[in-house]
Amino acid sequence: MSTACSEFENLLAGYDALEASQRARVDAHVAQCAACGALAQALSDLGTALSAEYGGVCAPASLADRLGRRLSRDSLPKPSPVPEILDMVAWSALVCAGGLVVRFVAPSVTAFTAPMLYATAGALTLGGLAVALWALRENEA
Amino acid sequence: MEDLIRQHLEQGRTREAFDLLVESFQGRIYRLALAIVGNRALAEDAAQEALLRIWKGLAGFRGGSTLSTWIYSITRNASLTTLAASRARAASSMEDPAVLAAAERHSRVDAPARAGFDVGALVGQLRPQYSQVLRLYYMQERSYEEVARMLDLPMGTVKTLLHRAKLELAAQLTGAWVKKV
Repeated sequence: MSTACSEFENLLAGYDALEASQRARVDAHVAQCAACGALAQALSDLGTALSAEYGGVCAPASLADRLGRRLSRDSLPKPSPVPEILDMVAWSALVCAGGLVVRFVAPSVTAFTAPMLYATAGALTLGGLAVALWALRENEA
Repeated sequence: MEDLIRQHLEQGRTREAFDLLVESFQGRIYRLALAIVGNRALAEDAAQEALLRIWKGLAGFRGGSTLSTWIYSITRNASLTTLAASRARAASSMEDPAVLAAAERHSRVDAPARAGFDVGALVGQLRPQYSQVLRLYYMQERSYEEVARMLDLPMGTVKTLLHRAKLELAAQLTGAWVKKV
């Protein structure tokens, strides 16, 4: 197949944006040049196919859904510190209970007295509560 | 719309600003991503990544550029990152014929052939600069200005790339050699 005239190639490729006078000149040439006529037809077919292929493309609904899920997952509240605090209190109680058992079963093994154990248990519990309050405030912030 | 989004941002209402931004820009973000990556599944991933990056950076947006310029820049980067990751995955599984076949199916924007030729497949064979401009031009209602803004290219460059892309495709359709400018 023969080659389109180089002078008219770009004009044909940008035909949509041509001014009326330029269009008339291109039309007149295409009417008498087989190669440029074939190129004009191919470009027209392409324009139709490209408009059908890409015209009216919208974002799929799944994009907004996925984005919403991702954002809500990323902005989930921080995990509550309460279980860790309860763990700490329970371990304090266990340590104190163990100390009391040792104190009464084998008093010679430990130098702890009952009041010392009670004081230790109280200090641990108060410490746990203080940490709990601090953690709750941090979590709210 | 950009003014309203800016108002929300100035008053610290980032979430409201973001919701408005998504409503106003998600179509353009998706189309820009699709123009760059060339298939719908990847474009959705790229658009989501872009929107997440926008969400993370929105509170710190100070308006050094226009909002749309900033959004398009993030979208282009997210799309290129997504495309590179996809190619790396494909390269690492090249020996798997099932993966190759799936990649071939997904490398095209749309499946159905039209009037004897599959224009999506033809566009996919063009060099990236040509295919990006061509897809975006037809997705953005044939606006040179909008394509230039979204791809951050001078308008003259957009026109040149578009004309060359069309002539290359036309040459494939007619079987003729069309002089490349």
